[in-house]
Amino acid sequence: MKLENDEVSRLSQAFRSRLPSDAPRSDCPPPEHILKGVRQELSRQDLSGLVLHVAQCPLCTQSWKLAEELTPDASISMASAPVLSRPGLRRHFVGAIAAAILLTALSVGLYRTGVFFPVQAPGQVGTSRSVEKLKLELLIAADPLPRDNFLLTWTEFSDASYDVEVYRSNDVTAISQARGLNVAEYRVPQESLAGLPTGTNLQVFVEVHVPGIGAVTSGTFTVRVR
Amino acid sequence: MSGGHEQPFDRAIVSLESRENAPNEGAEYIRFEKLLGEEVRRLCPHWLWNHREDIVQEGVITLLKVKRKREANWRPNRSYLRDVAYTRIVDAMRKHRPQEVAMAPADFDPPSAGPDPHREHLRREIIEAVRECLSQLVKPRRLAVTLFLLGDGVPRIAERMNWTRRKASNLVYRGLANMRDCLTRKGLKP
Repeated sequence: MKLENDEVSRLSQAFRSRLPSDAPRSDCPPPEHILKGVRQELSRQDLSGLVLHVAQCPLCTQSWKLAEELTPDASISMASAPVLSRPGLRRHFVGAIAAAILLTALSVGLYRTGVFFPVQAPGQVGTSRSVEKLKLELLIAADPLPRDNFLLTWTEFSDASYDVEVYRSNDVTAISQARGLNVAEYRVPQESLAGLPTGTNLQVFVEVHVPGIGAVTSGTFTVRVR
Repeated sequence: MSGGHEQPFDRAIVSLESRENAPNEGAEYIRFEKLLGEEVRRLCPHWLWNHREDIVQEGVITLLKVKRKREANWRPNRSYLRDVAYTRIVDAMRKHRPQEVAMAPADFDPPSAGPDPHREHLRREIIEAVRECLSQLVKPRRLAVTLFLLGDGVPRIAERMNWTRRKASNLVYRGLANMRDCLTRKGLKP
């Protein structure tokens, strides 16, 4: 049984809501713990415990959402992260930071051309904040995009390859995906979009792989089908 | 303003502490108050707006205490200020309750919504039903659906929980289907 886009949106809205009768629970974790959970600084076991608590605690749900506003939307994930303490690998870490800065600069440059406009991930309110958060941006010519030319373009990154995944928002069914792209764009095949009603929201994720450095993962972008 | 009679008392304590510990802390207090005030104004939920001065002051106390343990020229960076603002706002969220349902009415109307006296009651009923249905999901689906409803996409959920994307996608899909079934059994349409 599938839920429509607006149904998911209403579910999410209801879940995040707080009633006047909602009181703090005695087992609410300290705010710092929630921050760590959002920033993925907890063990998987601790994170599971936190999320299960959040599921039942409206106050901590709101605290989680607030913590997300402080946390970069794009994560820089490096395959070698656990061994970064090895001196020889420190330059890779520095390289990753430099790459992230370069990515941001490219993002700003493309945005200022006025050719494209960026699609904000949910909860993001402006370009300046996204730049500050080193966020990968999806750049599209219009929203909604026509299904016969559903061209997704994102921040270009030197010598990078890209993986892109497109899901239907209401039930997270995979619509289309591509791996190892050498250009920062992907046209979703028309046949993949054929059965979708006009206005369907699609979630788009892009992962940028930079040889010798690692990967930059985008946030969740939502684009509608025309 | 919040806090009733406590607020002037708190301020007095801050003032005395400042004078007692270092003559320059008065200026530091004003500086921290300005910096933290910007972050609190940016992050503070609207329903806590009347308490923001208290939040800022509690945050400034935190910063002054930290500063006393650090070097004399220590200055909090913006990230640190945000974290302090966040922890103080969450503390305030736990201390105070919103006077109304913290949700825009237009965003989530029950099926028979309209200007009728039962609307608020229906809204509460739906919110409580969503929470109850979520609590009935088996643990992995509850984890996946909770993160999904918080705004995470499948790749992020997979990354957070160290699952494959396929597993994350299946858990969200099945969990949402369970949610709909549960709400339907309660006579509600999501």
